[in-house]
Formats: sequence, C-alpha cells, structure tokens
Amino acid sequence: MAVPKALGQAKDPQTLVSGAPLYNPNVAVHIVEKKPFADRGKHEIILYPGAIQVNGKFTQHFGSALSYIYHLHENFGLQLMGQYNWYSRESGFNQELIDKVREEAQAATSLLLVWALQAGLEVTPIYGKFAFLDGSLAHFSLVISAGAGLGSTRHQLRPENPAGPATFGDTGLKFVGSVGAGFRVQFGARFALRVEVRDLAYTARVDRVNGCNSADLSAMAEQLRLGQPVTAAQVGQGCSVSSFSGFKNGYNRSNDIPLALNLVSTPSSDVLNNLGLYAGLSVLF
Amino acid sequence: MPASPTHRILIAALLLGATQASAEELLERVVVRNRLYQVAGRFEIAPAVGFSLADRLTNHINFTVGLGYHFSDAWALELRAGYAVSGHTGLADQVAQHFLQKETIRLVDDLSSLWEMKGSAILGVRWAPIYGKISLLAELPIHFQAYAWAGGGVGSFHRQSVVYCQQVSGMSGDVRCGNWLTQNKVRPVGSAAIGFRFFTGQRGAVTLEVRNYLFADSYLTGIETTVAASGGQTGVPAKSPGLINLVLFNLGYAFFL
Repeated sequence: MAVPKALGQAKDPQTLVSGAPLYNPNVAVHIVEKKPFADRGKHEIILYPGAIQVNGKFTQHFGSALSYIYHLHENFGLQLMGQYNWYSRESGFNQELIDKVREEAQAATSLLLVWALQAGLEVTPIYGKFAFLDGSLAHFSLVISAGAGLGSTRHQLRPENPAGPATFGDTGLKFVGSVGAGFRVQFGARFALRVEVRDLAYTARVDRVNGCNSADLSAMAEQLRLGQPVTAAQVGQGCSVSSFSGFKNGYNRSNDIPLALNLVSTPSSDVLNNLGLYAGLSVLF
Repeated sequence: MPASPTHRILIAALLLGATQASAEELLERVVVRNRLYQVAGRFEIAPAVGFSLADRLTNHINFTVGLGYHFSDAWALELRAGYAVSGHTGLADQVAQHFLQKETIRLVDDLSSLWEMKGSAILGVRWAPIYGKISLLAELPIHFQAYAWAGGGVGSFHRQSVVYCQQVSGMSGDVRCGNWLTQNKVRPVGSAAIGFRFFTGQRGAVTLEVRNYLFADSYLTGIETTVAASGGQTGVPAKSPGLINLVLFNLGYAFFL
C-alpha cells in the first residue's frame, strides 16, 4: 500500500488529521471534549441493587435504590431518588460493646434508616474516556450529586437472640440530606454502569418510640406493674399502644416497654452520616 | 511517539477517503489507546500517606514508600514499607475509662479489633488495565491509570487493652489505670488496593488509592479484673478471634525513574 506523503511526517506532533494533531496524544481537540452520547434532554432511570453502608460503626445498613434523572442540560440534571434498606440493624460492634463492657451508643447515634426519599440535582463536570487493556474504549463521567428529603427511622430495642427475634421501635420521619460522587461508565447510547459514594446525613432526635413519649411509656409500664393490659394506659394522641401489646412470633411485645422507656428517658440527638457505596445500572432514553 | 506499521495503515486508510465518522473513530483509537505516559520497563519510587477510614477503636496515619518495577504498562511488582502513627480513638479511651468505673464487672472478655499496625513490609503485584484521560475544566487533559493491587508480607503490631488494667489507682468514682496490658507481635498481613494514578508528566503521577490490610486478631477472654489489677496473669486467648480489616485512604506521588 502506498503511504501518502503526509505520513512521512507522522512523527511530527503537529501533523494535522481532521484538524487535530494526530500524533500528539495530549491533544484535546476532537479527543476528549466531544461526547459521542449527548445527555441533554434525556431521561435516565438507575437501579442500584446494592447500597451498602461502609462506615458502619454502631449501625449497619444494606439496601437498594431507584433513581430518576432528567438531564436538563448536558452537565446538569434533576434527580429523584428513593432508597429502601432491607437490612438495618445495630452493628456487631455495638453489640460487642453491650455484651462485654455494658456500653452502647446513644439512642440517636444508633438510629436506623429504613427508607429515604429525596429530590436533588446531579452535575457531571468531568468527562473522559479510557481504554481497557488497550482494547475496548469506554466513556465515563464524574458525577456529583446533592439532594434533600425525608427518611423513616427506627431504633433497635432488643437484638436477636435465642429468646426471640430482634425488635424495633418506630422513631418517626427525619430530615435527610445527601451529597455524593462517583463514576458513570457508558456502554452504547442507552446503558451505563454507575459506582457512587453517597453520604446520607439525617437528623436524629429520639424522644418518641412508636409515637409514644416518656410519659406514655411510663403509663404503660405502670399498667404492667399493676397486672393490667397496656391498652388500659392513658396515653397521648399518636402513641401506638397496640405496638406494645400482644404477641408477635411468640414474643411478648410489652417486654419492649422498659426498653423503649430507657431510650426516651434521656432524649438524645445527633446528626448521623451514613456513608454508602452505591452500584447500579442505568438506562437512558 | 513513533508510528507503528498498523498506525501507518490506519492513517493511510483515513487519508485515502475515509468518512468523517470513521476519521473520528480512528482519531479516538489512535490517541486514546496510544499512551502518552508509558511506564513499561521503568522503576518507580512512590511515597504516600494514608489515613484510616471508618475508625472504631484505633486510628492510623500510615507513611509508606514503595519501590516498584513495571514489567509492562499494565503489570508491575512493588515492595511497600510503612510506618504508622497509631493509637486509640476517643471511643476506645471512653470505653476504657467507663469500664474502670464499673467495679461490679469482675469477669470480662477484651474487645476485638484493638491491634494497631505499626510497621509493615509487603510485596505485591499491580495490574493497571485501564488507561484513560479526562478533560478537566474542558481545557486541561489529564491522563490516568486505574489499577488493582494485591500482595502480602509481614507487619509489626501493637495492642493496648481497654479492660485489662494491671495497676488501678484513684478513688471510687474516679478510678484510673496506671498500666494497661500491652502486647506486641509480628505476624503476616495481606493487602489489596484499588486506585488511580494521575500523570503529571513523564516522570511522575499523583496516586489516590483505597487500601485494605488484613491480619489476624487475637485477644483474651475470661479476664478476672481483680487478678489483673493485682498484677497476676488471667484470661485465655479467644478461640475464634477473626480477622481485622484496616482500610486506609492513601495519597501519594510516584516518581518514575
């Protein structure tokens, strides 16, 4: 094959091909900025099968999340995200502290997040491409996100042990905010893989369990002491007495009353950071 | 960068009438796959500082130096040696202090995961299958490698108990410990990491990585606090103490020689 004269100058980094200096690999024109897949005006649905807490000191969460993004501009999108933690319990470390040295985290510090719903935004300030093993090329973006919303919380009242299952008390809805960063690696025009780290921060003040405050729980405890059913207690509106009465899976739920009373008798507050690793697959359309 | 025969053929095809789309594809293939920064056949010296993540009872700031040789652009062998400034977290100190005030606890098991890694020497293989570039602020192209690292070696470890006090002092309600039980050991350690190297030039790269050190735990169970306080030997080693994961975020710089 005859080689054009231009190729004889190929070692010259200024040799231009399609307006770009081909043999200067540091060239920016046509090489990095131009995105083969435009995001603007597209919808993106992301399923995160795994959302794993990575900073679990007193708590441990495993969950899944679903997110929708409308890409308002090429580098800016509006986001809705829902997350459900199908495993949210106090950590083994917290239990070790209880078992061995009779110490445990404050109620607010070990508050568990059951689900969260947030609205926010996502920006993609950095775009790039890479070669895997000098073969396949892939395009990726650095994604940075922020959001705010509400989350449902609960607190573990007793751990699972031979005497019965773990029990939990509802501690209500809390304000949730998040910031995150990660990578979106695009495969073709429609699919992408995402790996992100998100810090889910939520306010935590524990002064009610199942809607019952300290006075309500004291009244129920008094009924128990008198041998009366807890449903006979005079409690405030919003206190779910039924959640402390009867049996569930053979466990007498009234046993949770002193545990809940212990939690709320010294109200505690904290701001918790649930740092999670989110891995997911997204579809763009 | 010299043009290989393959490149010449590709470029010839381009110049002999390729479409605009195929021209762009060719550009992409040539420029992205052709590495501006090549490390094959080069040695490197890579100092780094690491900060432990998700601290529970111990914290570490680990200073390391790596000496590596790149067999190819993707594969390298590296020896890393490190020394860590480590200690108990505030939580561990709090647990210890509170425990001393609980004079009713006479029999206790020590806590797990209290070993601090002081020194380490590990040998491992680094695989960097990904080479790419990003456009920072739309103007500044940054070339990077993404890699995985795995290996093992030995570490020197130190442990200070939070329940085994050998010298109790002070009054009731303000009990203090003058001498906690400490232990030192040398034991095997495994390590794995994933990270990025952002090239700053032909002779260096900024390195960001998350590294895990994995080593065996050990602690005493059945400690009689009164025997311990009198300076006696008490407790038996835990039967299944498990493993400790020490996860660090490392920030460093690699000098290519």
